Amino acid sequence: MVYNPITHQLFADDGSFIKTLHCPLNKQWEDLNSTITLKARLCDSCNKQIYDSALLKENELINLIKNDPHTCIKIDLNQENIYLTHQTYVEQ
Amino acid sequence: MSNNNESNLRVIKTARSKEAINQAAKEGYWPLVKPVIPSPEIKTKYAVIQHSETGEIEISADFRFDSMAFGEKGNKVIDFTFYYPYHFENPYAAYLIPKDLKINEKVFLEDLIEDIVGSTWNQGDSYRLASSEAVWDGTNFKILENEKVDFIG
Repeated sequence: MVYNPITHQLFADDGSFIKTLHCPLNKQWEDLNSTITLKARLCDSCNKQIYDSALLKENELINLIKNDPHTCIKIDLNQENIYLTHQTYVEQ
Repeated sequence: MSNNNESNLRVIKTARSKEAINQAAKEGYWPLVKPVIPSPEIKTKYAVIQHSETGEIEISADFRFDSMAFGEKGNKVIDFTFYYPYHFENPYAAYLIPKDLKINEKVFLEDLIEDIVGSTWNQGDSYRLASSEAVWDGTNFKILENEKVDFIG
C-alpha cells in the first residue's frame, strides 16, 4: 500500500487509487473501543469498525473498501506495510 | 456553527482570503487575523528517478522506493531533497470568532493556521497538524496538541 500524508490518499502498490482518508470527527485510535479482533476498533460515534491497515494485507483492505466504500481505516506512517508517496489522484 | 468533532465542541472556521474574511466580518464574526508562516520543522522529501532510455520520470518520497523505479534503467537525477510541501492561498488567514465565544471555552479549530507538527515519519519527514482542539483565552487560542496523531478515515 502507498499513502500520501498530504492529500490523505491511499493507493494500492500498483498505483490504483483506493480511498481518501477523512474523519470529520477527528477520531484518534487510542480513543476507540477494542473489539474481538485486533484488526479493528469500534467508533462509537458512527457505530462502525475502524480497521488497522498495519494488520491487513492489501487485498483484504481493497475487498473491505469494495464492499463498503465508507469503511474507515487507520494508518500509522511508521507501519511496515506502507510506502509514502507524493502521488495524487483527482477524484471525479 | 456546527458541532462536528469527537468532543462535540464548537467548530471554529478559518478564512483564507480577504473576501472570505470580510464576508465573515459582515456576518458578525470577529476575524482573528494571523500570518501564515511555514515552519522549518515541517518538511518532506522527494527524489526524481529518470528512465535512461525513455526519459520518463518517477518521483520517490520513500528511501525504500528509489531503487524500485524503472529497475536497472532508473537513474536518480535529483537525489532526496527536503522541502516544504504545503501551499496556501494567501500569506494570512483568520480564525472566525463567534461573538458569544466565552473565555476558557474549549473549541475545535477545523483548519489550523499555525504550523504545528502533527505526524512524523521515521525517514525524517514531518507533516502539519490539520486541525486541533484549543482553548480561547479572550484574545487568542491555546492549542491543545495530541501526543500522536493517526491518519483515520
